[in-house]
Amino acid sequence: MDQLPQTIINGLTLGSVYALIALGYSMVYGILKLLNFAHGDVYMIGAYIGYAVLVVLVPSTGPLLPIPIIILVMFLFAMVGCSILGVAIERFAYRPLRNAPRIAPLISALWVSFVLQNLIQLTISPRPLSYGSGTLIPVNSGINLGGDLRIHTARVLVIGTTIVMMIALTYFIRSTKWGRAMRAVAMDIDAAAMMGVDVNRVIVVTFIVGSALAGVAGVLVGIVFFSIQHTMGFLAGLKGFTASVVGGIGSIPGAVAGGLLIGMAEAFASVYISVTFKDAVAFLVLVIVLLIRPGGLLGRLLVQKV
Amino acid sequence: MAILNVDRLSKHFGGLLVVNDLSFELNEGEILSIIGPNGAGKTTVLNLLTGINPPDSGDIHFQGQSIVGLQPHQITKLGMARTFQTLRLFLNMSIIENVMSAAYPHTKKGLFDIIFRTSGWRKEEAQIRALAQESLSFFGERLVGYRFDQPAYSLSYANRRRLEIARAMATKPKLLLLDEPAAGMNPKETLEITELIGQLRDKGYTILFIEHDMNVVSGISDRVIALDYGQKIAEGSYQEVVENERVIEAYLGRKQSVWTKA
Amino acid sequence: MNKISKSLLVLLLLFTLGAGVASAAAPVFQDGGQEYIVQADDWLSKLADKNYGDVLAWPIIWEATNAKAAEDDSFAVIENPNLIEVGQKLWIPDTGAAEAMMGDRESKAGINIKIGFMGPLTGGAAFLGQEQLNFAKTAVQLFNERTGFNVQVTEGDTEINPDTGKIVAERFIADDSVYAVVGPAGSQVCEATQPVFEAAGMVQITPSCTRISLTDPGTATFFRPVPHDGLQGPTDANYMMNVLGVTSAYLVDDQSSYSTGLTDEVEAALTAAGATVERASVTQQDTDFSSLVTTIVASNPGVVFFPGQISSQLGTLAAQLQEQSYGGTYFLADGGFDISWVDTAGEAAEGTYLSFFAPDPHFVLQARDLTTRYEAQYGDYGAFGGPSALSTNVVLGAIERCFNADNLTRACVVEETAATNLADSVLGIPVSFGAGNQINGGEFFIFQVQDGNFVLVQ
Repeated sequence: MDQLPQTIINGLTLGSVYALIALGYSMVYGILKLLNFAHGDVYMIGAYIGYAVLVVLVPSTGPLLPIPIIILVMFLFAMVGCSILGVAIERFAYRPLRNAPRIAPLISALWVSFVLQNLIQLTISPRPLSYGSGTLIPVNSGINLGGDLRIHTARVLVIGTTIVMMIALTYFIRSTKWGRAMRAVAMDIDAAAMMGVDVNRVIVVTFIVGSALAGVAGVLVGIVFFSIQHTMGFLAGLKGFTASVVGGIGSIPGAVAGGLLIGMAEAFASVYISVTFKDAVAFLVLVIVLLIRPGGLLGRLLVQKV
Repeated sequence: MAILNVDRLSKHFGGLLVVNDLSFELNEGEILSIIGPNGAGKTTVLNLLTGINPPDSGDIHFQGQSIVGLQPHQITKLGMARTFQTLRLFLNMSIIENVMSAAYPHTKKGLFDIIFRTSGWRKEEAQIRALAQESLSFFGERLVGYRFDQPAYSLSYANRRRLEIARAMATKPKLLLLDEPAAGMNPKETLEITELIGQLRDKGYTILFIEHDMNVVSGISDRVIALDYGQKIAEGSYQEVVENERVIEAYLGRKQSVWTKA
Repeated sequence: MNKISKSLLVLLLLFTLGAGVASAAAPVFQDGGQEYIVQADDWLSKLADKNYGDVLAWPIIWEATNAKAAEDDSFAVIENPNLIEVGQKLWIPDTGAAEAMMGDRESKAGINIKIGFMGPLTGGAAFLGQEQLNFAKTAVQLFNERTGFNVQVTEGDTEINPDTGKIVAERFIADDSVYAVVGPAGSQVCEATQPVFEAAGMVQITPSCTRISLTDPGTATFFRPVPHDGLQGPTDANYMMNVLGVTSAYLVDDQSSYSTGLTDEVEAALTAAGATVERASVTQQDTDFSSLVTTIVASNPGVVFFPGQISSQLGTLAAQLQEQSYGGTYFLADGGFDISWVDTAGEAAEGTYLSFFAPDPHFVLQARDLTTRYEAQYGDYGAFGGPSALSTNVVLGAIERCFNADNLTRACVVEETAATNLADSVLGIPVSFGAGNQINGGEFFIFQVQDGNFVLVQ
């Protein structure tokens, strides 16, 4: 029974990362009805941008700046870099295909995904790169929760950052004109356009926000799971996508709920069933949720009047 | 003075000519209605005007400026707004948010202001909200107060129609395009809508509306255009148009064919 | 790249790098020629111009002198053709012999011979596949320079996926100029492609598939110049129990054929010796093992054994074991012989053990030409490339023997590969094949991470 608290910590960490990735999937799907399969690779690029910052700011002679500032700079660069990448992907891979059959942008997305992966493999390295997390955050630092239980500082960072991001995003979506415009476009793209909403700009903003979140997730994963690799985006993207479907694709709180649920399901399955079946359990959760609520946990199946 | 100038507009979908060499003018402060049997191309005319579909040929001048080729949101920003025959509200948003989202074209603040919550941005948000409340108050008590924050899907059908008009008003248009505003309403509500259109004109809007309910058309139209197969078959006062033989034929002929099918 | 520009490149490399090996392949001349003592301001191409009227004929003098040196040590051995010293004795063949040699080299260069290389060139194991590919290419390059052949390497990406591997295999088989295939990596891919090459009668020689069943019973066309898990499992288990003195173990495989096969062997050996064994599987895509570690820590085994192929996973597991304060030993297999996971894990890697099927080329004298050339072209390397170069050399030798016997066919290459009998090789080990075309002998090495380096402990 004493594995329970640690398992919850594991699940929360994993779930936070999935939630951040799921948000990007969900937002883009909500607006464009497009499965942005390149999203997982945007997250991967975020991790590499963070790595580049690390290399510059933490030479072998030791960190040039206080560690919290370095981490902040990593976030900042990853967010900006990923936003630019996300916008470029939208502009060159999706926008020309906006009115094409829906399979076309999907293939385009897969293409982008492979290009990004191979680009990193060729230009940086096919080998995994170390975030040297030990230098940033000592592995044995953390908050003691009594007994043997300790929550690693990096995990506190992951969960905390995710919560902050969620609050900021919720505020953005609920209470700003861009958020309203995004929701309007998601519900009815033509009607929104005719109410004066500049649809292309809304789409660009969606990619900026979603990609920035993916960038943050990439840096966090590098820090908490110690290393990054050019292939890391694939499975993470798949899990993020699953999480967004479980939560109700297109729904922001749904993406968060879905991410946490998938993360928890994996953690509990690993400890109480077998680590071998954790992915199977994660996808089983998807099946069960969709059987009970076809629109996902917090999704609404809107019947469109024709 | 003409606020809208439509010149030899044509549009086809596949092999079907939906709008055929259509020309008309609309003067400032006028109420013009376009009538015609189902499938006459009325809604397509609105789609061409608002930029959803580009015309194959012809030109549209709005306030003296050609708007062919502009994006829908650009046309809206120039001062043209519309409602839909099949209601297209943002059902999951609250009533006031529906209207606030239409104030978008008159805002200037960008992402930077939002992220840093500048005072200019907060002021702008307050202005948007005020504008939305003003639009909604046009409909008396029905859409105000505690209802602001209710989701749009909780509204009755008639109130949804009103909300759509309020939303269109929030874009600060000069010209309102109403697509069958009385569709699906009972006679009492229809009468109310008719009066409402009159009030809108009194507020200074120019109105173009599409209708096939003759009761709505008769009461308030300054001028009527009848379409059939995308072609203008009659234009003039309500009386002139309904007495036009081609119009009668178009309506009756269509009805007959319905009968023979049944 | 077309053939001409490739040969130009090789020529250019000869001039600029000039690190070729000069041991001779029975040259055609023997008789006519003269001795020559190097004077000041001599260099090979100048001598070639003087004697044959062709500056490009310099390799003839180089090759002929080295051949003479093998019989008569008064002749100089020229390792670097750009560097000849005053007073060295050279052998300059007369024009007739030179023409014969040139003609021989040219006719060899004109034959279209390819070696197929297959391995994971993209994806998570790409670092391994790329290293193997580049080592194979380097070995071919050295071979071409020495013999005058123009062997090409054609590459196929298996993505470490059995189905993709089969497609690559079919492509190689369909190309008549491919005489042998080096690869693939990953026992699961070897398993899938083995029958395909058997049906085609083409040599397949793997530098890194170690699952036992591949050579037991094996096929006539499948060759393995590296030891298999049957040796590794008992070696590892023995080391854990008798040297480290543990009585309980937690075994983790990554679901690849290699990993499960080796884990089975270790499990059997440990169980037979009376240790308590628990076991779990992860996938090669996993990036987080914290929940697995929670389970491991709860049962607190003496050793955690993880024969993973993806080095980032090795590092993450090491670090997460430390994060949750695991106190036992961390033990890896071949995949651990890759310094990048040690970087990832930092101090958590210290003290980790690993067993490896090949020596590290950094420390093998016989590999120096190879590694010097490799480093100049591709940079630093790990330990996966050595066996790849060894495999390449084995099939190149077979191809050369078949050519000399005027019987360059796939069938002959199979026979000659099986007949390989090298007293020494690029990895410093003798190479000959026994039952199931498994290399005779072969041993595993155990290393420990000490101060961030791999130190041989057994």
